Amino acid sequence: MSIIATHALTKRYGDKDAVHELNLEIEPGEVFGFLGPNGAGKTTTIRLLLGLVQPTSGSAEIFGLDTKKHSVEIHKRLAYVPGESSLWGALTGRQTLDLLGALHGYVDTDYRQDLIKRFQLDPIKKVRAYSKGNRQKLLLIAGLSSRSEVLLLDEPTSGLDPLMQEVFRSAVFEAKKRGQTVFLSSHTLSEVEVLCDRVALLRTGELIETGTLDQMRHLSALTYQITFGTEPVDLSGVENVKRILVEGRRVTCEVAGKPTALLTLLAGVDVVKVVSHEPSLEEMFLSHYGN
Amino acid sequence: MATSRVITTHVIKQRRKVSVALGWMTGIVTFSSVYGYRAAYPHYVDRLRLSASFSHDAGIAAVFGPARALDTVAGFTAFRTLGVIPLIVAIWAMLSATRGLRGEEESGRWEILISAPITKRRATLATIRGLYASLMITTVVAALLITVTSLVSHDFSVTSGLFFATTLIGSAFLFTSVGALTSQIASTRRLAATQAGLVLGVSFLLRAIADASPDISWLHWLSPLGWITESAPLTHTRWLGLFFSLTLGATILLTGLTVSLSSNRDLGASLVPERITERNGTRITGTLSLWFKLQRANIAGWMVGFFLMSFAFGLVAHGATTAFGSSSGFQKTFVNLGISKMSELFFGVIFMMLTSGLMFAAVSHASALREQEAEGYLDHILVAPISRTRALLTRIGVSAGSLLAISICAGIGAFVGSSLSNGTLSFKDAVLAGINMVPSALLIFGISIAVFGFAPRAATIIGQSLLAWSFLMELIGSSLKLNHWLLDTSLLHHMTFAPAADPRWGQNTLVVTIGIALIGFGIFAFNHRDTEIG
Repeated sequence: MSIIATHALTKRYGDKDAVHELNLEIEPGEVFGFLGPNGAGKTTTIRLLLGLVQPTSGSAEIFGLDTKKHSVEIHKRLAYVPGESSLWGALTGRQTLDLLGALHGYVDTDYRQDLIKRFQLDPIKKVRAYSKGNRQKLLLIAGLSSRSEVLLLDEPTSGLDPLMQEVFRSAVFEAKKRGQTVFLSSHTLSEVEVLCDRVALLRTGELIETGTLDQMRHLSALTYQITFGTEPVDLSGVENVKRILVEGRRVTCEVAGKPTALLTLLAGVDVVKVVSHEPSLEEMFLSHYGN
Repeated sequence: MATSRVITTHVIKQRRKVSVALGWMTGIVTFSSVYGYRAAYPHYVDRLRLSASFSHDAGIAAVFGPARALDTVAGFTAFRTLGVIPLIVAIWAMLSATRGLRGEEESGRWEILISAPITKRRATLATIRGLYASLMITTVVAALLITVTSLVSHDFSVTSGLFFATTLIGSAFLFTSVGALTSQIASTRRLAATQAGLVLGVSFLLRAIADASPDISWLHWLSPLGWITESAPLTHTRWLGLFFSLTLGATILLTGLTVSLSSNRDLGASLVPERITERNGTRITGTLSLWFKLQRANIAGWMVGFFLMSFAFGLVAHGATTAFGSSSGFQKTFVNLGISKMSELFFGVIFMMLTSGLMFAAVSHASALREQEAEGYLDHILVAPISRTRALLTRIGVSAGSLLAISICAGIGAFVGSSLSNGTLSFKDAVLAGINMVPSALLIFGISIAVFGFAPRAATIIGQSLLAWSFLMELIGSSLKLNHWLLDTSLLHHMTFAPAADPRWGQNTLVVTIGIALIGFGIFAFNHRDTEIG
């Protein structure tokens, strides 16, 4: 049974759907990446899952419980880390961690202490004296140390330096090892590529693709880099070839589908080198949203 | 448009509504003083008796300023307004300055501003210019209304009226510059406001001591509020040049200092650095301790403020009651209002005034709740396994408890003040009179929470408008003999004048029940709506 599921989940603001008939199924223990450009509806989806906003139609379930009706029950077993959030400036880091832990009801204090060390956070400072990155560390430590069954992470590494991003990744791996489910909305594609078992791509509130990275790569276009010995030939109009970029004698293009037509054409001209590779997540992202 | 002009315009836009409202308030209080005095003291003999009662009372002079020419409309109007209005406008000006400068810096918005093609010096100057322009709006609105009052009533000349309007608002310019300066000294908006508040408090104290002891009246010259007393607008209208020179000179000096400090310090830094670490801070273990920690300074401020105010009024109550009692007009009105203890008449009026303050505190609590939601703070609580009802109830509980505590402080303050001046107010009557204020405050709090429940963005404006309307009805209702249906719309109109009249506990229970029902409705509506950020 899915630990998180949405059924034709829709949220409308005015005459625009922020989320439109979204269907998701996330399995227990999975690290699920949730991608999309700004305004795609990622944060709205997370707020719907948390019960902070209510669906216009459709429904969402976590642990098999309706998020609209059973938010308190769900919140007992879930932790949320927002990407951008106001924290009470008058409290110290320690007081904030105590408060968030007390509100949640459970904290693994040893693990919290360990995370404080790993994230190099000074908890006796007042929150208003923290940088953006340090505030984010505070939220991450609070969320991760709750050891919740489900972690909802919305842009969790925004403001963190690469070293701290590495600490975050290791913490997510630990969570996965413990069987926790992670729902990760992120713009850091390298992070998603490393951490996530499956990925969903969202555009203007609609799910456009979901699957493992391998599945998505298989469905996506391959990238070809062709170096010609003479002037490059014109590849526009060749079957399945798109997004052509010419730089001197080097041509980069994508091939969605069978490359037969391209290879037949190249066989008859002076070609020095052909390199083909599966698209990175970044290339897939650009391919989906580039236009 | 030049960046500095954009900043100035932005500052004015943010404040124009309050600026206009303060101008209106000043004009209306003046108008109601003129016509209220005529209605309450229709005969010259009443006026002479009033003048005789007040003229030699040091306590009253300390609180309200010297009672000059109370046998004239102009004298009474000056007496009623000069002690209070400049204080109210100065408090607003000071808070507005600290919010516009240190508050913006604290929030990080100032950083964005400074990254535009403008220096820190010019940005500070542009903001201060906007603050002064907002006060100019207040001055113009007040001057217009006072001019109309002068033309209609013929009790004072237009020129006197214009000088009067300028003195009422003038010191606020100076306290704006004080707030601007403390914004450079302190590291947080709250601290800057506290420092500026201290300056205002000392100014008030110096003015009060000088007014209470004519032998040391030279102390007036050490206080901007004392300069107003010395210039005696409406009655003697003197030292015009000196008043303007002092106010303007001090304002320019402090503004110059502020601008210079702002350009010579790092962004976010302050002359007095903040203690940013706290090794042994209180443990915050839940919503109740969180709300209490966040609100305790604010609640303590209100409690001390109400205690001091009612204490000060308690000191002068005896003399003031005698003076009120000298008016046949007032006596008739008070008998109609069911007042049984004429000896506590003054306290009845004062507790009615304090109720407006308590209602303001109640609306502020609802506004603070909305702010927590709008800024995203509330999300941290709502994503925890706590029902929305419980999350809200703890916050509402802290607010309701604080309203009760503030009201009791007011009662105790009045008792102590009265006891020290050989008054007759008993402890029980004083505390009950304080508690008698709570139902009205809970009612407006309930209305604000109900609005917060279904239209969060309107909660503050509806609460404040309702309070302003109620205050206005009380202020001008009886003077203008308005229809009782209109008067009934005031949330203050149903209150008894405790301790001069016995509180009607049955009616109070009903009002509290309505308040609680409205809170219940607000919570229900909040449970069924989306949270709204921004």
